[in-house]
Amino acid sequence: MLVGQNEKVQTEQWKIATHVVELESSIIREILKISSQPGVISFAGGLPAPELFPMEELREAMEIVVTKHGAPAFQYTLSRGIPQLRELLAERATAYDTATSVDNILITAGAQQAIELVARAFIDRGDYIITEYPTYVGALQAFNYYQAKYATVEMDAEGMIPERAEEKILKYEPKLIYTVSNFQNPTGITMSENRRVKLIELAARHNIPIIDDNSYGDIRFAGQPVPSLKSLGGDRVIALRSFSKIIAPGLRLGWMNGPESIMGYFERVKQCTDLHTNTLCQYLIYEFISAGKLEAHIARIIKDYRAKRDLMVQTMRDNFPEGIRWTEPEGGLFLWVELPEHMSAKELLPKAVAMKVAYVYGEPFFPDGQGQNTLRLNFSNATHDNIVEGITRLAELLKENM
Amino acid sequence: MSISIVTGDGKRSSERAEAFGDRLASRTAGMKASVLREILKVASQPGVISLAGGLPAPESFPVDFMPELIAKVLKKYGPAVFQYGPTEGFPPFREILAGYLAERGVKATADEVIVTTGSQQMLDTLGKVLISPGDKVAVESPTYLGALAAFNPYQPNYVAIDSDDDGVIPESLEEILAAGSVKFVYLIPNFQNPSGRTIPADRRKAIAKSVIRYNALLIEDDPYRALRYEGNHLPTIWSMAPDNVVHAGTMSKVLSPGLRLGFSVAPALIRRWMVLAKQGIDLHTSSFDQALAAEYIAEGYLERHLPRIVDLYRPRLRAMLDSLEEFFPDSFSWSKPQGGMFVWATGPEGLDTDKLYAKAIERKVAYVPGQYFFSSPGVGKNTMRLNFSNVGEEAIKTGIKTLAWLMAEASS
Repeated sequence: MLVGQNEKVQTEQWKIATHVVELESSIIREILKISSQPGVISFAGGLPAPELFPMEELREAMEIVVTKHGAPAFQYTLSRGIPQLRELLAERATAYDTATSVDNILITAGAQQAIELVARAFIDRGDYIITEYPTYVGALQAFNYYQAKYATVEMDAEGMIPERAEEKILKYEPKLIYTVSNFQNPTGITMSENRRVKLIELAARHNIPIIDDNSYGDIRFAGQPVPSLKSLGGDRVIALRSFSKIIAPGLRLGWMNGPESIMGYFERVKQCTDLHTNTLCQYLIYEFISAGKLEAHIARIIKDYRAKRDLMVQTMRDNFPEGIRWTEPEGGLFLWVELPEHMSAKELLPKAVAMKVAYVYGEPFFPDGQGQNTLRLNFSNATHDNIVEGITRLAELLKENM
Repeated sequence: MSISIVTGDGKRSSERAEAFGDRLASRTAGMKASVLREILKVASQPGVISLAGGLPAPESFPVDFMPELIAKVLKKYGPAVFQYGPTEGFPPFREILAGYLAERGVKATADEVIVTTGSQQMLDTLGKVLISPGDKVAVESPTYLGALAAFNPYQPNYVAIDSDDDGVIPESLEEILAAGSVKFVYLIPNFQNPSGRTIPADRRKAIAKSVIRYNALLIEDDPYRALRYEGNHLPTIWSMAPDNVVHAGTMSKVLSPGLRLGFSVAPALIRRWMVLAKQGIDLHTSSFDQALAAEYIAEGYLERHLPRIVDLYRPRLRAMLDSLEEFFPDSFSWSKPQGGMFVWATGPEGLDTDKLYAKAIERKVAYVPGQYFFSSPGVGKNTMRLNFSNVGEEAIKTGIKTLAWLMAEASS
């Protein structure tokens, strides 16, 4: 049984701020706790494969950090991040996206913090945000605190449908457009180039910033690359990036690339929050990339995740009963499953856990709590054997409950 | 295809981006660049003796044993230090912190300890879950600037607790709590930033009694505890009122501030809300840094490292107090801390240390004008904060001598 789900913390003793009382514990965190029971094959998390962490390269980079940089790697630093890493990221963004200077870059504690800083900086109570439907649950968690409302936009295989987005913009006058444009969490869908151009035109016409949560963009293992929203939209777009999926999530390092005029605000907000992102890991990543290790490492990840996705999809094709649909993403960590309308992935989860397999049901990804018949599967973290075994178990469960 | 200018209205995208300014939340639009940041910027010019900062001395950092520590961490924990971890903290670190905290009378289980991204995040998450606009927060006068910065976006009303050389006056706190509706009390009981004051044991008892009597919540922010150069450790307020106190510590003054590691023990309800808020803020604090800190404590590095830090700072504090005694005008008084990083000087009424700052910079010495540490405007114009942790003894002497001359001139 799921504990903690929809839990409201009692507030008898000290009054919690009125706007916080409505917050709920992250359902995903609770599911993760259950799925980490011994023997459970978990497709629930969003964890990179630990066997791919570049242990040796990171150890070498760490050695360089200590010997070459010494004390500054342990000292307080600027709220925007260490200049070396920001310069490096600006150069890379200039090469891959659009002309970028060090003044466009702010280092964050993962992309999650970048989302949270955006929420802090922009959202007043009751402000609307355009999001995909479904969307990343961690973003909802960050936005909910500030009492945002959501104007959700349906997706098809090419991502958010611009005509629907425009209707919502006209109706709700949203503060922001939030998208996970590449290999979206949770659906795995990537926004097509044509849609990107249209979204930017829309954003320009209505003067709304686009927040592109681009945590997965580097992990493409099939199909043609699509230009980033940043490269197409320039200052119209605030890009949120992360090292979690391409180096290691435990370092908690991400960055924002936004218009210079707005970065001073993010800097001040960041300073109030945690002063700055941890210095040592910034130097570590700087030396790791400077040593030329990043590209080769991303290539390894791509190769590994491609094989895992192929295996998961093939096992689903071979075993899943008729009437179930799923996405076959060209990158990222997740695919998305739609069961027949009458089925509830949430109700099935305890049965799945009893059969020692876990997933995340879809409802938390829908701001309005819909999506009962959907679920998310992660293919990056399990071994090949476990993918086959876990999907086979899941197929059995679905057959029994169709 | 690429479009760098996307609009049909002839404006360049960068011009239009300025317009995002009017999309900012009210809490952000009101945030001005901090005056203190400008002061610190000037203070870090080459050739300036800076008594302005609040930085630990870089020579105190554990660079020498760090390669060994890193090797141990990688060997012991492997890939786990690079993986996502629980919001509450890296389990081995929480385990070790429970033992570490017990030494100061904060008796908690590992499950009751939460790790934050520095103490600053502890302050931010508490502000986030506790403060509704207009709520009363009781603070020392003066108080830590970073705490005000953390709380301000949540729009509290501050109530200043009266203080003297021994820190907050318990009767004043009692009165404030009796008046009711204080959301929480925020104190730094040891070697306070900025004043250097330490609250004596009998006052701690009285404070603990008050918070219990009024069932108030108190945040005991204790970053400087380890930096005691003389005298004995005093009991924590938590140890006298565990159900009413959030006790918070940090690795910033020992292992390294750059790792951004803080830890707290809070009443269950508050703890759960802090974790909930932290999930949305950064998921969790760097696993790698937490593993380093865990081994730093567990393997005895802290025990060997701390005396080195104390030996580095003790003569600096001595040099500062001796120089103040030798050079500063009689019209000044100052705190005489037994630890920490700061001394607080108070000049005669009418003195304006903010105005004098430019003159001090001309003479290549920097300090922080004290008025910035007060929650109400116009208070503390005759005060200043002097840091001794990040400056050598000779430079301290020179800096204090120069300031003394300037202060004598200004107050004559």
